[in-house]
Amino acid sequence: MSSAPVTDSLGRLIDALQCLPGVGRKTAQRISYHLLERNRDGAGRLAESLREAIERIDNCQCCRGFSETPVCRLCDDPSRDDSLLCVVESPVDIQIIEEIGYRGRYFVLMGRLSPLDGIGPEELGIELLSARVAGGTIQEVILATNPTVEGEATANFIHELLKKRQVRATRLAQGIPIGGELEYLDGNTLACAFNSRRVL
Amino acid sequence: MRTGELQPGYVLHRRPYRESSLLIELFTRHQGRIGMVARGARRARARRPAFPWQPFQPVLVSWSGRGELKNLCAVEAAGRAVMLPVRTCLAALYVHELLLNLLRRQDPHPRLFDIYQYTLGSLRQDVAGALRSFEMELLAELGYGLVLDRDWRTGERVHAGRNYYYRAEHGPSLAPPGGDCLQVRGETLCTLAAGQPPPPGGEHERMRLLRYNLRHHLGGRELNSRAIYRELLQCSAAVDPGPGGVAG
Repeated sequence: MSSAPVTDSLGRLIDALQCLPGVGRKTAQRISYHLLERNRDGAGRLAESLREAIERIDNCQCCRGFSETPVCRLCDDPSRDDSLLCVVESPVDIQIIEEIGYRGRYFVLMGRLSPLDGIGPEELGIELLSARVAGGTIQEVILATNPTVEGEATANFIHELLKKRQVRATRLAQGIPIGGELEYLDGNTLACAFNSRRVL
Repeated sequence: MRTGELQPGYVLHRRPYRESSLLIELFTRHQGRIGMVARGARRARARRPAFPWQPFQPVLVSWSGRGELKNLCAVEAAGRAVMLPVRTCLAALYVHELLLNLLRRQDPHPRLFDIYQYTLGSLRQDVAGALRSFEMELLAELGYGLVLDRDWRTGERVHAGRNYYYRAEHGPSLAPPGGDCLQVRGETLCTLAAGQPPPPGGEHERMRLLRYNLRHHLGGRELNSRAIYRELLQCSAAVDPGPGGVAG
């Protein structure tokens, strides 16, 4: 068991740092001492940035991604393709998809259907998504949820919802990663790759 | 304590734990429901992707540890994960929710394991039938088997032509028992007691009877998968107002 920190503030800092993913008591202690001993300026900037982010960042009213304004920059950008809507599980997915040059719109579910974790359509903002699709400009909804059981269930749930609209629903392909080797693939992925094979 | 050999099981649920680990709930043939930590399970190793810890994945596992939560030692896929369409998938997740809520950890139910395995296969053909059979068997395995053929007050045989009041943990009776009970036709009780399919119009009654008993053993809680399933049916009904789906 580690000894008690020398000051109350230091103790609170160590406790607070443990909210970070992968940071336990030992690492939190190391970070705290490092910041106080060697990088007080950095610590100040970190504290300021954290406070600013917490105060300013909220969910976009349109796509539910992170935004400092009621409607985020991506939703507000008139040059983007209004006919495409990409549905993702988490805001971090937007950043990754942006890097491949996608120019359509987004909708962030902030999770996926998971009855065993108590996450249902309400938590995912399905009503807002439905209202957005009902707007009429969207022609294709790209369901980019993760290829997990819950991600698939979410995609299929939204697909059922879209059937009453004149909207095309598409799902991201699944298969062998580029540079991967068949020998190291699991049977499910390989079966998906076989089922999605294409004519050359 | 360490299990020497690999044991057959299915993944019921998994959730992230710390930076790269998973907390996994398994249903194993010989040890029943097992909770375990798979350290580093979310991290792909050089050239090898992470093990697909997905619900419905059949596995062979070994573990160690004396506490309630075990540590995973080794895992192998025991076949491809069962891939199910959305309605069937929600129905199968409902089965998982029942198992997680009603089974105690390390309480072996090898017969129920076989029934679970069979149910995963039969859900594709008949969602309602497969779910009702599973619910009946689950209640029986847990020691809450339904009394269907005798009036619990008088001990007389149930008559097909009469109506009964069903009370959880007791059974049917002609006289209203007071408190929480469910009205059910004698004809439905008789066919269920005989292991036959429900009579015309009895399908819904069978579902209500099982739901009533399960809710009792779940402490009145409604299961999330059921609520989601209902919403899905509402969406579909708006598209195709057909004969109606299964309110599993």
